[in-house]
Amino acid sequence: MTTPAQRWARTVRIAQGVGGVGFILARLLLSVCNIPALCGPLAGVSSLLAVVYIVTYLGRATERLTSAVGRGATHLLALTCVLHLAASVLDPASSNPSLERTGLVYVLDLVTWVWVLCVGLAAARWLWGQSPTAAATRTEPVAPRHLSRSALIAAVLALQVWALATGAPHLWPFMDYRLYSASHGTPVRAVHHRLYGLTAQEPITFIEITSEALGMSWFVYHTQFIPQLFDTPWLVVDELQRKLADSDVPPLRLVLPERKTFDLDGGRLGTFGEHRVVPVDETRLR
Amino acid sequence: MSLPASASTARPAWVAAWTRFWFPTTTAVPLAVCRLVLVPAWLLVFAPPWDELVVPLTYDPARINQTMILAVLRFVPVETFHTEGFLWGVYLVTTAGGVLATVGLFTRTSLLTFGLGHCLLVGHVYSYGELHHPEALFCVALVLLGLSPSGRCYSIDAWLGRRSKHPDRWGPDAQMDTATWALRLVQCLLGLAYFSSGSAKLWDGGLAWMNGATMQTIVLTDYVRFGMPAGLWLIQHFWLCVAAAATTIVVETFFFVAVFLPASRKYVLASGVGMHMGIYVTMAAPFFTWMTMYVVFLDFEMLRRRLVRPNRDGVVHRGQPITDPATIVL
Repeated sequence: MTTPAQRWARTVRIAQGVGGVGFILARLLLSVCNIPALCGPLAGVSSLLAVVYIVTYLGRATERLTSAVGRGATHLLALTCVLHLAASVLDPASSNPSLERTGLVYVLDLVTWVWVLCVGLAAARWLWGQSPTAAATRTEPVAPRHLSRSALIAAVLALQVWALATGAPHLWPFMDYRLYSASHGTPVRAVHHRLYGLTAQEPITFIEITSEALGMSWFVYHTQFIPQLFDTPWLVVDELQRKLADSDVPPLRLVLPERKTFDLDGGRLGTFGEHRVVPVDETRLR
Repeated sequence: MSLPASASTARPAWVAAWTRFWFPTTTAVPLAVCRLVLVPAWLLVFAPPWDELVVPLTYDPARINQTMILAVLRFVPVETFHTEGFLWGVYLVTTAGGVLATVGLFTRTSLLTFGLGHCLLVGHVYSYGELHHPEALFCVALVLLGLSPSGRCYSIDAWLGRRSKHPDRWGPDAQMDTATWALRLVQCLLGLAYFSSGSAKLWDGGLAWMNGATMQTIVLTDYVRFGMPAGLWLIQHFWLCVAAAATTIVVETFFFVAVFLPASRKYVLASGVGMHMGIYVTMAAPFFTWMTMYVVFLDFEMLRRRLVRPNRDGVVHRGQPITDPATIVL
């Protein structure tokens, strides 16, 4: 039989957990919000949850959270909530994605990401628990050999983090992984380029000229070379003629770069093709 | 070569945590198994064929932009480097290193040669503006394995070592504190790469990345290139695209949990495999190298202990219970 005081304490603890975790999630979504209709509500919800957490924090209802994440973390989370409230009052950029982020909002966003990582790890611990074998792991005292390996570990991690942070493409094999990170809206559309040629000798026919036939990388061929041939043929036609002359492709009278646009409309895929005629004169190269 | 015990007890907590994380005392079994999986996998399946490695020889060497290749060009004249003969030499030496590393003869040297050689060859291909992602971490993993004692067991080196002056340093039961750091580092690099990919989608694309249209556009772009039928099916189901986008971000952003929580690994790795297979069947993007690298998360020492244990005479027999409580966590 629970007393009203116990029920109240339980309610406060739940409010505090919901406030803390909910604030972190809402603040994360707010920090990456670029849908205007959602940003206003997200700003309101995150501020409300911040207030809930601060009230429960001031009411010293944080014992359970302290045992879970540590006393310092509860203080820091309260500080983050206060900063968020201050920013939302003082800085319009905190809830308006069309404004440029200020220093305070930027710092808040970074702090939010740190919190998200901590919450993710804590949630995983809660869900799966720590491995029972971890406690049995034996370690030796620090040895000189550890220092050299530690330096190597730090160097490798630093290089990888540097590559991630700067997006530097020249640090192979360390690179960033911003794959497909841009967002797209409607209409859903894609463009693909191919190259065809009309043979110069009998039997006269159209053939597709592939990247393998010209000894080119598929990616460069389809995303750079043919688009250039389509849009600004005078820039690359000499290179094309050289490659054709060096290849096993039969002599051509002309080449036809093709740009095909694919449009997804109501679940149906429509296509629209465009061609450009580019005369080639390989004879002077052969 | 340890410091006095008093020094170790006085060390700060973060030093103790660092040592516990990177240098636990374990056997080299997981490391050796990773060598036996990753080296043949790269050698036989993932390494770019010779035809692809020589494609850049048709490009202007003045375009070379990778720092590593530019560093090599300080020692090797570009007229020598940018020739089929030189690359063929590197390719032969590298392949020979891979064969030796697989059987475990001169394991460190051969594995380092293999890893660095392929870093050079693949790095050269990616020195002219075109850059793809599946190979980089695998090359780093091969080099790190070469720097670690991955030949201490399941190798010809180990077989010879058991007949040397220090037989206790070789074989699957030999204990050492340098057998984990390389695997941990590969785990961390994988976690960082996934986190970079997931967080970049939120930073660059924002919430709109999960609007369904983004996933439809991405899959459609690859459908028109590679013609995967599953891709066409996916883009016609809007809400499935929304769910796939949200799942991708969650899996990538929180993959790092597998580094710190061994209990979560079977779920996280299964999610990763599911995501990559989904990407492959809809977009034809082959990240099999990354899925193969998941081997660094698997606890082969635990598996071995379940299958074999030393008998009274020191001989290992299968299927007997374990008496030694020392264990490891990868």
